[in-house]
Amino acid sequence: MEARMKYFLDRYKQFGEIVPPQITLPQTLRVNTLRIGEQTLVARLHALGIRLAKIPWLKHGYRVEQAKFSLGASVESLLGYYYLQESAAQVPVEVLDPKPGELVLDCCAAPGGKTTQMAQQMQNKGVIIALEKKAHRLTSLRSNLERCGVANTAVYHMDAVKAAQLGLQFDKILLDAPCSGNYAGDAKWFDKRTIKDVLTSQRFQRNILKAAIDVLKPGGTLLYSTCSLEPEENELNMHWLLENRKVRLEPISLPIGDPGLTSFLGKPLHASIANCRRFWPHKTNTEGFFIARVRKQ
Amino acid sequence: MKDFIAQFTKQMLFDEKHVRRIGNDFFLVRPELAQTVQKIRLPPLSTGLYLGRMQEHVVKPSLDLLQSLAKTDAKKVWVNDKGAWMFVCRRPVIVESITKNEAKENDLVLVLNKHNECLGYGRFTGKEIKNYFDIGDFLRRERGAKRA
Repeated sequence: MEARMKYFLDRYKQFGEIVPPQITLPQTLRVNTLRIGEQTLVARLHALGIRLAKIPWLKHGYRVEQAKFSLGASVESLLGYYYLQESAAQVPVEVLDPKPGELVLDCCAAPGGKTTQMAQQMQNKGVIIALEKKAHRLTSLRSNLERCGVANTAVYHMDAVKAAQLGLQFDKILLDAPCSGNYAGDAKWFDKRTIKDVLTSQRFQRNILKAAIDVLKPGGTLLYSTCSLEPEENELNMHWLLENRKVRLEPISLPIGDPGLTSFLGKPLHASIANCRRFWPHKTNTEGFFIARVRKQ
Repeated sequence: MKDFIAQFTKQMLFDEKHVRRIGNDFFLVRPELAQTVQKIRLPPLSTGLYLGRMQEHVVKPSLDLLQSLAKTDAKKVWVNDKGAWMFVCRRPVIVESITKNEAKENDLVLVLNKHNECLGYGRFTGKEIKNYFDIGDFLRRERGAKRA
């Protein structure tokens, strides 16, 4: 285990970051404004002894500062008034910014945190097509859509690499890709992961990326994200995409996160990859995260 | 689904032509979504606003169907915080926890908390409200899926 941890921590040093091997993240939630007004919920939870603090760089995100009971089992949670969602995980949808009336594809939708957030942002108007490959994850996806009052979404049990079978061209696509994860919030991550896992994820990610770009309208936007800190799943995928499809990477205006890496172990990458955002947990107090906004030409 | 709603109210909750059944599940589908799904020509697992599930001739209403019913003339019982918590934990509500009651003995009733939010439904026996369905079902389903 020590050797694996050292391997990854040494890699991070080469990317310019001295990363502490453990980090405790705050609990965070997103208010579901499809169901309740933000201030109404904050006041109601306050009366129950729950103190929330607004996360300034998120639209509806709050940090839980004090809770007297499990927030996953309250009546307010059952009524769909909030969704327990990590703060960095709320960023991709905010950056993609799906609008009411648009046709949007969610490539890897379960358990539905980002799908429900998109429906919220779209005010339940327009259409979301949500795909999920893994059958055992469909129950939680459908339950969360129900709980959050989502009315503009159709769910398909489908691998996103087959998205062309839908026969549609989308205005926007969210590709929150399955990935190797990161150590923040998972004390055993270094135990479980090897660089082989990272490269396996990369293969899947590129297959989905290719399929997703092909069903994106010209001029449309794809938001690519992972909760991995490994460049193979992030910057190297974007470099590969720029070389294989007619796309560009757009700047992301956020007061948090670092620019994407523009070199990897001595090899220069496309300069526009600096437009992506990388969330180092020890700097952002969030999960590790990577986001890229891709525009199809 | 129609028969289930009729047990509570004669009021129309939605236009039946927008209701779609997929297996045992019922959904309210807006035209824009219905048209897109029609173009896809593959069967969706779910589409639109979930209304509920028919399971062994019993309807498990969705959160949205319950809240829609609560806005009609359906009979309702309001319960205090303790009663509300017991109810969402699948337990009956004893009369001491009832703060306002529109029901007579043997009536099918919606159970509401102090915020006028519908937590489920049951039958008022005179001594308690027997729990037929409550919104804690969501959590139990989730836990069941995780165990499986």
